[in-house]
Amino acid sequence: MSQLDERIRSAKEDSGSVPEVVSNRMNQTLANLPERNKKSKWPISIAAAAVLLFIGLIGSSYLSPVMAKSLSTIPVVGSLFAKVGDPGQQNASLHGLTSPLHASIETSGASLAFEGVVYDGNRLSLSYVVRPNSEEKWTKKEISSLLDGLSLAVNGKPLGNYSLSERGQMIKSGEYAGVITLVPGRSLPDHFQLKVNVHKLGGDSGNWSAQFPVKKVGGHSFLLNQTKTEGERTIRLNKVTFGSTSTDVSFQLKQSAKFWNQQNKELSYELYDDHGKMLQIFSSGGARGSSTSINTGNEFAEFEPLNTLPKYLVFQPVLYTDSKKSAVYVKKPLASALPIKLSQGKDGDIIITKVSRSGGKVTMTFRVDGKDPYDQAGSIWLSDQNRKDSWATKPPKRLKSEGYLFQLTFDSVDPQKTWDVTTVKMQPPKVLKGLRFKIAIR
Amino acid sequence: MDLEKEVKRARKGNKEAFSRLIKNYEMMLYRVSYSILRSDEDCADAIQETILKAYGGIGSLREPKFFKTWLTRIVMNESYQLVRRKHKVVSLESMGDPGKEDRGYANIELEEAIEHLSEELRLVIILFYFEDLPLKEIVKVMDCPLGTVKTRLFRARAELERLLSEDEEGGGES
Repeated sequence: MSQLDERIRSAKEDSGSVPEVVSNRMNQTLANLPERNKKSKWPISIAAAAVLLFIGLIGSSYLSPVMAKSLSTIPVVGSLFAKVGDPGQQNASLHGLTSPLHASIETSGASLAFEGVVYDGNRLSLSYVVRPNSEEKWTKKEISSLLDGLSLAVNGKPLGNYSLSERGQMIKSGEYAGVITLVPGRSLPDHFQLKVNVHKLGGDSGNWSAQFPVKKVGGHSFLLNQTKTEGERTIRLNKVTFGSTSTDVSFQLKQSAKFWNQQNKELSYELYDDHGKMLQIFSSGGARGSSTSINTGNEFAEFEPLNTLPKYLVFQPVLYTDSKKSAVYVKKPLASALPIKLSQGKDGDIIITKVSRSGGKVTMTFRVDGKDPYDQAGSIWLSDQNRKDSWATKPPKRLKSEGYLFQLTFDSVDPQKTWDVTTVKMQPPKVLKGLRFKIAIR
Repeated sequence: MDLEKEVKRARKGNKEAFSRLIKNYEMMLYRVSYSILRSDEDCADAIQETILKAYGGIGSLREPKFFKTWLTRIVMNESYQLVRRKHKVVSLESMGDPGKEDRGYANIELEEAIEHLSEELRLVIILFYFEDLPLKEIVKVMDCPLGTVKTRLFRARAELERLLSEDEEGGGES
């Protein structure tokens, strides 16, 4: 542990208390919380109707004239997936696998229109547009907080375990386009009615919902039964599913309790296709038991989709260790002659092949040669002579599926200043070779 | 306290369990909101909104183990919302000396160094060191790639080391 680490940790252990003004307010708020209805015996629809009447706001699943106008400005159905989705959702949009939706929710302050949906057997993705009904201009962060408190029901039953994530951007003044990604904890039916319950929209709080049919598109699953053990870890592969928005590997991970939630060591996963290309990981996680010695988790790892079935895949866990060593920066002037090559240490190199500037915006195109290409691509920024940094506001965009070619845009780069493009030397993660699987597909 | 059990109780409408959870995370709520708002009064407002929102929405939280990540994201959103509502541009220059009150760091030089970091770097230090969030959870809270989170952590550590060494040398730029 470095000196700085020790200092921060000891400061944390000696932490004081929150200021009185904050704790007083906190206590007052907690003391005045309203009683929440425990499990209502009323059918959900009646209870929801009562709430709606009480708060006097309209929640509906028809397409309002306001939203019809808003949607009419979207040139091609499904294009929001292409514009703001992750590479998997962009892929589904490109292959015409998304279905248009005509459902909306309106409050006094805002309108939310669901624009498209795709369920590929792994993930359910929903695209939407939020538009304020007034001159008020919201920020991206405010609108994307829509996800907090959002809940879902399939065929009238609340969905059990699932994880939700959201991404999006302002598409024009005050108007936000986003994509919600749902990873259900169980397989969903091939056809179902999805009900989306929203509790906050813009500045309004309440209970609104929209409902629409969803049909599974594609999705080939292969059951697996391979087990490997290395030290105190065992992985049993259960299933791999090839969907149009992701490739999902589900497995059981059994490991000593001490390995879960180790802060300086994090387990992640890598998946390679039969050409040796590393697929970009979107997320991983799972549900875990809580015994005291050996814990078992039913885990999943989601990667970018493949458009054709490979002969085989290679799946392996990797361990990221936070070295705490002082960072070694590598920087070169942004105005250097192209290509600009930056070493990222043992991880590999970044080679910038194109830099375009427009006002305060800088867009760089670069290739990554290395062992951890997606992390490497996210580890680049601009810094000025006074050590002020400019970070890209969006993740690096992969330019084509072959090779590791990316584009990154920086929005606030003062053209009057001299900028360096900067990265840091990094260690690749440790591959747990004893837990590497070759998965034959056909 | 068995946090997962408390989350399950709170999810069923148990007000006391919810209050215990909030008290358990009160320092996190304060540190995260302060890193964005830099005013105790504003933190009180943002935390009040966070409590109400979390109380209203906890029924929809399916995985108790993600309660902390979920609560962290709510307090960040509420803090940013407050910044906008007050039309505040929060920068070190505009705020001047943030004062020497106790922010839960118990080390005045370290506290000042953390406050000199840019918001992106300050948040990652607070979430990683003070709130013990794993990098994968910070990715969810901050909505940026793992590589970016790791790089910001590197960058933040280097900046802190530089600021603290300047402090020990008794001067330098600040």
